[in-house]
Amino acid sequence: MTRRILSVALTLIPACAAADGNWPQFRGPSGSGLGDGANPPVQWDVEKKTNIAWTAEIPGLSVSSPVVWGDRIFVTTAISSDPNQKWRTGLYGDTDSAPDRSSHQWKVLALDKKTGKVLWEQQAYQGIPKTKRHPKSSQASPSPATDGKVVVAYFGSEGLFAYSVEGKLLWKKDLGLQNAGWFFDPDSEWGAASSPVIYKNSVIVQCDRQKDSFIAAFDLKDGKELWRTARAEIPAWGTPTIATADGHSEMVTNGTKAIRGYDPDTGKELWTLGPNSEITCTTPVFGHSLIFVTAGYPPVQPIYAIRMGSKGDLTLKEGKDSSDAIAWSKKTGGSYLPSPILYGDYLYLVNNNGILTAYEAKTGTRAYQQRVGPGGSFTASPIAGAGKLYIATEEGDVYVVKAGAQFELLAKNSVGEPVLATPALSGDLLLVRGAKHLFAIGAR
Amino acid sequence: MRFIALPLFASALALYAGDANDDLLAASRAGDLAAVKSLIEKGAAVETKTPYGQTPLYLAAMNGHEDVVRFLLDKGATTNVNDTFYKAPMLGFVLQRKHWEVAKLLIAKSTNRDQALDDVSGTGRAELVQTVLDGAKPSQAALDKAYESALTRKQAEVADLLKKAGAHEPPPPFAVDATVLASYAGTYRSEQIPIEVKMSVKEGVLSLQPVGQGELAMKALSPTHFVHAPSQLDVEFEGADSFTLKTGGGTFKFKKGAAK
Repeated sequence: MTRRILSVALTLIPACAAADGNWPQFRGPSGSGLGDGANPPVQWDVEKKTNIAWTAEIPGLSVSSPVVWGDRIFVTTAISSDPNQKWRTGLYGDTDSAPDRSSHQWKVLALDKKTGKVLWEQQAYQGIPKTKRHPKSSQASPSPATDGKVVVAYFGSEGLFAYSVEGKLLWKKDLGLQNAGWFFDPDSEWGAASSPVIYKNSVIVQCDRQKDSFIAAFDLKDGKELWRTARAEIPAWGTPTIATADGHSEMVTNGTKAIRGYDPDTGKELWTLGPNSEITCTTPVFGHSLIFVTAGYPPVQPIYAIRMGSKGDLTLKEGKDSSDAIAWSKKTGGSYLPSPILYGDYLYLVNNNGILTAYEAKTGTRAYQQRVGPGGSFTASPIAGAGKLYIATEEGDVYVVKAGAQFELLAKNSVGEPVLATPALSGDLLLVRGAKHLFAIGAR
Repeated sequence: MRFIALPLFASALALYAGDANDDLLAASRAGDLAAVKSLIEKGAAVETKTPYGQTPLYLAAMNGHEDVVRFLLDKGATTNVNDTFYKAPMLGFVLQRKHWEVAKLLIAKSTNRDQALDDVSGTGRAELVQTVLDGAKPSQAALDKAYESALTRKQAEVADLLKKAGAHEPPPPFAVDATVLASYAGTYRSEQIPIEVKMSVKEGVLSLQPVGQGELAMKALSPTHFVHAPSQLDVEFEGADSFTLKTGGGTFKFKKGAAK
């Protein structure tokens, strides 16, 4: 019974936080992607302004997600001096960096949640990017994080910046060259994308690069380094997740050499698990006393359901798909770019080509596999609220799918421009960041 | 004491060699010819490899460093290298990245003429095919395969070169009964990979289309066996409701109808 109550509570932890309307980091509370308590529209029309509260033009190019605290929305962007810079969307396997060596301005903007009006903007850095970017990424890919007092923006090689929510620069840190790129040819630079995470009085950043990877915590107040743990890793792009249950917290990172659990208070490594994909982009999620980690770069495309509180080397023995530490696992089917989402009793994975697969979270039994729409390419991670999944495509469509054991498409909407950033939820607003605009979708 | 000193000395040498080899890989990737020359003179191994099986020549070639490629070839570096991750031949990334002059250097030194022809035939570039044909003649099977691919891709200049080199006309497709062909139409899914494949029949030809991608006209070899030579797709139907797809070294089972 206690376990059952704990299990329900686990599912509800992120949901309660989102009900405040706060969406404090990439994928909201605890990186869950969940906004229960929110009730965003199922349908909207940008041209007719139906269910569009406001639209704000955001300069530059960025795949970072908006974050929300109280009545403010925070976004980051990188503005190239070359006005022709854009994404190359679609399904392709090319590895070359984007041909963009122009000077950039890296900025943090605060917008009024009610109107979309820019309240303040701060330029964090200006210059030629120190590393190149992937053609479907940006120079401002990590999402900001906030605790309602401090807003932290991470711009990879250009540094880590902390502002007060009023826009005053509190501190900045140079974390060195973050040359995340192709493992096979480091000259194919794709740019950093792992987002900062606020934990207690610290901000934690996962810096997986070609050499000397690390994860570190910095004091939110002054940027002082609290701990740093070396990672024997090649580049990775997922955001750490801090899973919390019954007073116990563990931080989980996706990575090629190993999926790892850490003590977020000290950076001490708690457990490792492999094998994993050569390129890892997704962010772990947790619930039901399990931590779910996926990766989708072939040929290793695993899905793991890891029991919280595990220790040591959790790697499964040959021929096994579960153990005391691993509730269930699959060797194939892991998603590549979109992170998984755990909503209620189901774990949902969206593949790059838009195939949605639902698994029973506790057992790994597949509930369904269904194509979302007639095609397209999917980079943004799904989010969920009010019994619905919101799944955005690079083509600018947002599919609304009923959560549950059976696939049911409720609506398809468009924002009319490419969407690569993961949307956010805040109260009854769905915030969709397109290539040029932030759309606040909800009643006026 | 001497017993201790000797292993220490040997370890130090091994460490130095390891560093020099790593430096050679980095210099080759960066196209730093002076450093490549210096490191090889100091004993770095020409055939040293990255954890993914890439040699200095592989790295210099995939990054288009023509002068480093020439130097390493003169030093006897082998062109017959496939990496261990993608299993891609050295020419693979060179062609994908359109380093045509480097490709010609590698082709001229290649001892595997069939592989070289297979690699370059997809590019549609007649001068590369001609470079292959200028060396030792590829096998008849390789010529025939490249010729059929060129015809399918409508690469007339390449097809002409291959024809002149002795390629045979491809056999006509097997005439599959229209009812049998129609029975294959439908959408198929695999438990192994999240990809849907649509089969349809157009003008008496079976068409394979991964959803969201282009259509491929399949050539029938028998009532159940179909291929698409340029994409190296091989499809064998087990009945009207399932088929096995072989491609890129993988084998995937597909079944018709909605997945659970």
